[in-house]
Amino acid sequence: MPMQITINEVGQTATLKLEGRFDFNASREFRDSYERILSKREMDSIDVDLSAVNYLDSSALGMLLLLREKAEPTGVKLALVNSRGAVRQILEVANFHKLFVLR
Amino acid sequence: MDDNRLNVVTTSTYCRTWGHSVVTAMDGAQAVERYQIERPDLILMDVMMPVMNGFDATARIRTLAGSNWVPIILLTALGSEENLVQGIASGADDYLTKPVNFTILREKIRVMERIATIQGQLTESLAGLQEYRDKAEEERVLAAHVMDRIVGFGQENDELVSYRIIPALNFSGDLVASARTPAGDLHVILADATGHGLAAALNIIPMIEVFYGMTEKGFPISRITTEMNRKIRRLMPRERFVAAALVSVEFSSNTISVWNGGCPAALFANENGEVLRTFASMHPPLGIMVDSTFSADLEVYQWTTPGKLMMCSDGLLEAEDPQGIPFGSAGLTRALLSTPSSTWLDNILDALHRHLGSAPQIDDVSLVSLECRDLSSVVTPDISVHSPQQVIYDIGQWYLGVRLGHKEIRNIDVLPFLLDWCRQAGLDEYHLGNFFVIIAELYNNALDHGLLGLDSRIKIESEDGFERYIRLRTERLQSLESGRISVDLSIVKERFPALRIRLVDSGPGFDHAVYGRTISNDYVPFGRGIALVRHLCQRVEFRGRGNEVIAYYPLMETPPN
Repeated sequence: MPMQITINEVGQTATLKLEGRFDFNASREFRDSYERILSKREMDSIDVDLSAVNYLDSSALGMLLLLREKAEPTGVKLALVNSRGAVRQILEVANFHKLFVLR
Repeated sequence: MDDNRLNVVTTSTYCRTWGHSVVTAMDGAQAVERYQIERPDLILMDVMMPVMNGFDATARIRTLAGSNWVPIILLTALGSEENLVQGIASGADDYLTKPVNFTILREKIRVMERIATIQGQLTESLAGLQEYRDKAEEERVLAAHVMDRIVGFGQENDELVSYRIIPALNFSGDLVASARTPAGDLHVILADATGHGLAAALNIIPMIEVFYGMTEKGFPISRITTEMNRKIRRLMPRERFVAAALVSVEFSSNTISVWNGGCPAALFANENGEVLRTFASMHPPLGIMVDSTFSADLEVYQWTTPGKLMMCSDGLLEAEDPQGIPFGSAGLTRALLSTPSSTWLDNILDALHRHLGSAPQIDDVSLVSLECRDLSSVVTPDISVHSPQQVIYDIGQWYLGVRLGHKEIRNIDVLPFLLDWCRQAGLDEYHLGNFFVIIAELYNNALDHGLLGLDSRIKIESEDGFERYIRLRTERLQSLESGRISVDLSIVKERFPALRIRLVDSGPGFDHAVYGRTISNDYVPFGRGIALVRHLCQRVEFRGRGNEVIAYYPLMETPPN
């Protein structure tokens, strides 16, 4: 099953809640989602909620890096939140805490 | 085609008024013959004909047409269901009962035209797909070729390095390579590029050039990772990064230095399979950080008992069994414990296959083992067997002087530069190796003891003394605010030509008498360097307060192997 993305906007924070396998097949929908948020210019932070992601591969890491690159010039703050288990481990091995706020 | 002349004429006339051109035949056999010559777009076929009936003619034409579809409409007076079934079975597409209603015939011809158009488009896009598939296959073959060459290149299989790469798809995006520095240090890289195929290969190509090129010039792995990071960042889109582990093994001091960015932890295990040290990923993968935030910090370990350094790509640890449980680092350490170290690689792969069971291997798996044993007595070239009569060397008369201030000492690797000078001046690989050992030793002495004030005894004061020494060295070097080191090289001719190597540092000097005059095979983690220099050189003199050293390296014929 492809990854599900739900966008929830509360105040100035948009939460991208991802569910399922975060891999190459999710790239288009993930990009469309964050571009929609960034283009509106109404939010000052984006939380990527990984609590319901059970698998994440290197192309998913690449997508997060792309999001980071897109968000940086707009001043939008990024955070990867609620990662757990194997997903948390993959982020740690890639030392993503040096690139993102992990909560 | 119809054996009734009147029917043929009437139908033909109607068809012509609708704008079609018409060819006629009077029996089944003639119909087949005319089909082969005329290749019509549509066939109206009577069932009851002499020589060959309509069913047989239809079947024959279908066979002849092959994949080129031609619509066939049967015209029959019988109208029974049985005939209809037989007609469709013989390959007809539709039928009309006689007497022919020409309004209906016209509509049926239009339907067939539409179907024919769609059929044509389908055939065209199928051909397009096939072409695309062929191109993709061509690219795959090219990428496989490139990766093959890259992975195979330069691998005169260092006797201390063993590796396995098991690709998930047709070929792997993983790379394993090894090379020696001029001083004989061993550099090994395990890299895992994002994705597979040509995209992964494109990422690997610039890395491999940097790895071999800079290792050959004598650069340390900290500089090599910095350059790789810069290159990948410059060449590739942001989401294409490379997880990599680089290792440098220095056999003169029994030390391993590791830079790990995004690979599973490398393990140092003794012969019993007990893990004595892990080197976890301390950095993001290559190609992500900008120069100013990139860290080339290494983890250093000095082994005291022989063992093996094991490295793997995440494809091994993440391989899932049919229940979705990963192989994990536990699977790896278990495989080490149960078997002799000579069979570790194969045992790990056996364990992996048992673990996978019926589950498919999703990611590339690569695995490296690197043997770490005490080779300090082996790497020493012996010059005593050569007599001065063998001198044939003539590399001219030159002088090269370099003076480095504290900034240059912090930021520049001067050794590869000096090595490159000597290579261009005509020193062959054998002498370059010896030269590199000498200059590296003397330079590090001048820096560590002369300018940074480090005492080698720190190395043996405690269990992790060596690592403490390296840490202190890094700290003090980074905060160095004054000091100079001068290096000059020249060719001198005394009894025979020699390379004169002189180093002066601005430090307080040190007591060189504490350094050994012979190479000891005992386990002493310092003093061996200077002893090795004395062994390689004709003469080594310390001057001043111990802050000046002059070494004479004899330029003699390369010894036969």
